[in-house]
Amino acid sequence: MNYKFLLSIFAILSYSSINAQNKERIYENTFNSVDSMLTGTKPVNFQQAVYLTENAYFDNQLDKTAFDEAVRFNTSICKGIIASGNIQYPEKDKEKATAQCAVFVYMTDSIPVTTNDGIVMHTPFQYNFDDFAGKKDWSNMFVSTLMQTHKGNCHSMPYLYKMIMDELGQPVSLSLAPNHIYIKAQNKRVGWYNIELTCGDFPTDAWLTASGYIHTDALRNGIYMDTISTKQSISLCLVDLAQGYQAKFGIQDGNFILKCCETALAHFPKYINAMLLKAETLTTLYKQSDKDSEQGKKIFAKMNSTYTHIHELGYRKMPQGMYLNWLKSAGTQTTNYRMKSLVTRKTN
Amino acid sequence: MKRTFIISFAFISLSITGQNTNPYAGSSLPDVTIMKNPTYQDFQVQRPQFNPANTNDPFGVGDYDKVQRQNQQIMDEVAEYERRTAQRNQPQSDIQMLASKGFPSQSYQSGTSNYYTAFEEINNMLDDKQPLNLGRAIFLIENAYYNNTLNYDDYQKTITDQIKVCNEKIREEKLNKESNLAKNMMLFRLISDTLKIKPSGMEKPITHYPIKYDLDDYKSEKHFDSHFVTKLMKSGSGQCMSMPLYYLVLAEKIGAKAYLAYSPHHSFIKIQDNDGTWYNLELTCNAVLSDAHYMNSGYIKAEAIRSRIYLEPMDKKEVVAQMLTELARGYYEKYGLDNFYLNCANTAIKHSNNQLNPLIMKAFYEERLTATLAKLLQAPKPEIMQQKSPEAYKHYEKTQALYNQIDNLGYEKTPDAIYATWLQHINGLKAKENKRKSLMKSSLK
Repeated sequence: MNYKFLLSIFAILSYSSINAQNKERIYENTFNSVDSMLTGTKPVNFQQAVYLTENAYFDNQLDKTAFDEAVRFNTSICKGIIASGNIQYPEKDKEKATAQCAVFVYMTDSIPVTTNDGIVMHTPFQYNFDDFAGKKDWSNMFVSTLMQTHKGNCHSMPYLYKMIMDELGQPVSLSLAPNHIYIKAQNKRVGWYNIELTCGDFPTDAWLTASGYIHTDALRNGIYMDTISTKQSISLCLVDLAQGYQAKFGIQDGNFILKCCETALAHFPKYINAMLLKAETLTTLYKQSDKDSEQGKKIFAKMNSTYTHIHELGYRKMPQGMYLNWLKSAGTQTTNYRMKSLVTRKTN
Repeated sequence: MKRTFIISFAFISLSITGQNTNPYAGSSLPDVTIMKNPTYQDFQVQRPQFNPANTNDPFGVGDYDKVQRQNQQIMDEVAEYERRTAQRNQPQSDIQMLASKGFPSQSYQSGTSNYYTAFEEINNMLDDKQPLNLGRAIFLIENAYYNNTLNYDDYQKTITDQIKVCNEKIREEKLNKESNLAKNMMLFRLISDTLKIKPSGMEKPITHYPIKYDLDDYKSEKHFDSHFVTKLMKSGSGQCMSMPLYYLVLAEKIGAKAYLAYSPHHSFIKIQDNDGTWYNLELTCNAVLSDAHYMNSGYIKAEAIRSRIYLEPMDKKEVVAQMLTELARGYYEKYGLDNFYLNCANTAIKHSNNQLNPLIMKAFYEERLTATLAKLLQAPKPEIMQQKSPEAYKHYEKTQALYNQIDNLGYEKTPDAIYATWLQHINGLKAKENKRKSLMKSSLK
């Protein structure tokens, strides 16, 4: 059980000396690379798509080798937890369930790791309460940031969980709730269940529905709380790319963002966040336009139909200020809504 | 310094999915005494008849000795055949019959014809050969159980009397008697609240009491008919099956639009207001509840809502189709399993989007059949059954396929912990009621 404790150092990011036009070209190139996974000219690879998205924001300065190495390093610790034999699970699908458990434990709890300098505690990943929505710096949403700083949010943490599980050969699904992403996993013992890494919990669907402001129609239509296939996850990356672009350059003429949204929707028609970003972008464009012109009327009609569709699918806007309270409550509440006794920990 | 993480996932019994150690899933295998099912004495074993007079000797002038010898040979063979079949033929033919035709028909039993005619009429409603009438369908089902001893006129009069109370109150409160919402809310009050009305020409007001929740037999375990609407009408107490159905029967009569919805082991009413917003009317406790409440208390997962087995409003036609599962339930209670049971399930599936209950019935039928065949074949494991009788094994495969289909709908058995909370709640209510009773007695003394 010896681990070599490697500290992977990430690329030093230099923002200077690249002009804006080149930066936008990076985004175009990244779009094409990610899109080729969706069209099938390149194999679908979630980790690669996430890397590309983040790399674009960092102006091509994110080291691919270091990124992959960091994911592998995280995976190796999880493998150690699995190999320790400390996870007990009686059903036939032991390999799958043990992996689900090990990565969860790794990400949410302190793990003793034997290194050349003795035993080191690997501390859990923490929720970044300072900038959980990437408003101060969009890169706070990134998996690369999470791996470097050990601070993440409901975007980077489930992404990393999925990447490690992919690496372990036991894929799990991402799943959506309003302003939120979490993991949906399945094993024989519990059937389908939800993994919430931001607070280390297993919330029930009922809790997510009630507190997460989800209308029943949204469940019926599968826009929330459905499993997202790996290919659909690439659509998620495209919208991430668009949001990174927006954080960097603003909307500009709106074309790049709309292109990302439309492409994402072509391969994942129920992807609510793509619809929302599209609608918001159209709204901004409409406000900027000459409202009485042909162009303005066109945008207005498009915006209206997008919002109508979103509403019909069951989306309801969560009142502001509700979100953080909601997320905080996930870790602290002792209501019936939590899956009781899903995890019991014993210390020898 | 070594820490051990023992992660024990909450044990949610998945016995239904066939992951038990018992390869036949669910019920305990070895003891196959099927409830109220035949003892196989009704099987007529087809034995070959041999009559020497019929021996094929077209000319009648053959070598007599040769014929004799041949006849003797054949007779010996038949004797040997009969000796062997005496040992083996009985169960063998049972197995063949069961595997190819399923459980034998119970139609020889008196009273079954009531069920067949009830089915006929309900099926005509579903095929649009006759107008949909939920009240009639429920009457037919319950009347079949009581061997056609109920009176339809009395049944209808009870309904019209209730409607009169509603209409009187609507008039009294000057509500819009055409309004769907007003009618629904009045029905809700009628069933779950005390209403006082003073019809013109009457001196004293009439008090109409709500339907009580039947705490004693809400699971319909003591008496099969505890969940019947007619039982509710007679006793004034019902449960989570009879109360919503009673509501729907009244709604049908008064002309209000109301829908039925399921949650695990439960059903309730859904109505829409004038803006199209949905409301859940919980008649068992006089409340309007949110979807999230049902999800939480019933442990409903998102998959089940997406597949629309729970919290999904069912219109009248669908409810009538679902009632066929009730018809089959009563039939099974009285006569056991046969093709009629299966036919009810299949017809319900044909006319209903919500296939959960009919699928569970079909799976139950196939599982029983598989277990019976396993017992007769003396095959403790599916592999052995496959070797001994591929035809019987098909029923095992069918059972598994049905349970998979049910699993994919997002159906899960309610965890014991959740059920225990519910029982606690009921016991609390019972204690409350008993307290009230004892107070009454002492004050009467």
